[in-house]
Amino acid sequence: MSKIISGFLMPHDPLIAAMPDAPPAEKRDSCMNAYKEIVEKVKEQDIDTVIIIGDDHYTVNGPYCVPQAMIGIGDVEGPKEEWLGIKCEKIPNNTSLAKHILDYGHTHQVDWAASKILTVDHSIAIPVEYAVKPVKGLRIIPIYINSGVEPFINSQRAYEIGLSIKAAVETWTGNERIAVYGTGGISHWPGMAKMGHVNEAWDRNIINLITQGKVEDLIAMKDEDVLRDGGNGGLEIKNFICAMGILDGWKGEEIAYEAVPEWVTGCGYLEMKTKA
Amino acid sequence: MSIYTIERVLWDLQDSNEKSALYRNDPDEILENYSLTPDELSILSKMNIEAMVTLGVDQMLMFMTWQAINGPQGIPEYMQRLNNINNNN
Repeated sequence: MSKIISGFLMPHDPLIAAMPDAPPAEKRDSCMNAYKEIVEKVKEQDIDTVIIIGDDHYTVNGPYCVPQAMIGIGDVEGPKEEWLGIKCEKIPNNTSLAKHILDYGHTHQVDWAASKILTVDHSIAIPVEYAVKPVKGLRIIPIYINSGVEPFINSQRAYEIGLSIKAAVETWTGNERIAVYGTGGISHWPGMAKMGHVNEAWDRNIINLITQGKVEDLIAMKDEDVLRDGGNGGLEIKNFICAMGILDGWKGEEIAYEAVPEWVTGCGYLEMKTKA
Repeated sequence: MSIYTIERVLWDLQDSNEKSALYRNDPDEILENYSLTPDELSILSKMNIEAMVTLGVDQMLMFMTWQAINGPQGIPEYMQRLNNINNNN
């Protein structure tokens, strides 16, 4: 029987790849060591599949269609953005489990959009580059929650979708050992006048809520308040909320946090742990 | 006037190196391919980000399109213009 073994929250900041030497060495090393710590844990846990929660940045789908929740069930490649400096190449996808999550959702009130051919943006590609590729044989399941482009997904819905993924995994007949990566945030203002500003106090509050397992407090945050205090990028806490739905009842433990204006983002890394 | 029409054109320009190059060469020529109102055409042909902000166009998309057309060397001008909007409000 498939089992969710572990969960991690981490940034998917594109500048980590595009401008690796922009921050002071101490902050950069702290962030990159956090990815390495996650990689080591995933290796130790013998994980074979990672469910990655990201969000489109008006890069994958554009205004022609803005799905609230999308899952890659077929060919996956990336990244789409040439400026990341990462070669666009095929990314191994656990298509059978991805299709099962899709089918389960469609019969349990989650109307997934399905991507049969998916060219991922940095929200999936950055975690893949730093926390998937270093682990030999690891496959992913890419999931897009619409936290980056209006109309934004409702936070409660993001959580319910996480619960649906959890239930789907529990009804799957495979033997996968699964990790969950919730990616994004924390505060940042991409494309806005405040781009480069980081609200460390707000970031710390988000981290504190996650370490206390208070997902209901994250869900209760109004989008307009998040936009004001955490920026348009701060809404990516909805990706964390979705991951916390899959990891229902788990609490976070901080691996690292750095406010990195040079990467225009507050970079938070957490390991999720069961309450037991 | 439709912000969705403006976002459609912005998306197309940043999604295709060919289209962003065509825009750099002659904005009006590529914009002829779209059904635009005179106001939309004016905003897009001048890449009037101040007007786009006022209309509520997605600023992440604006930024990506600006970069696709002007390159990273154009970012300081983009940020200066956005900050001028805020300072004037």
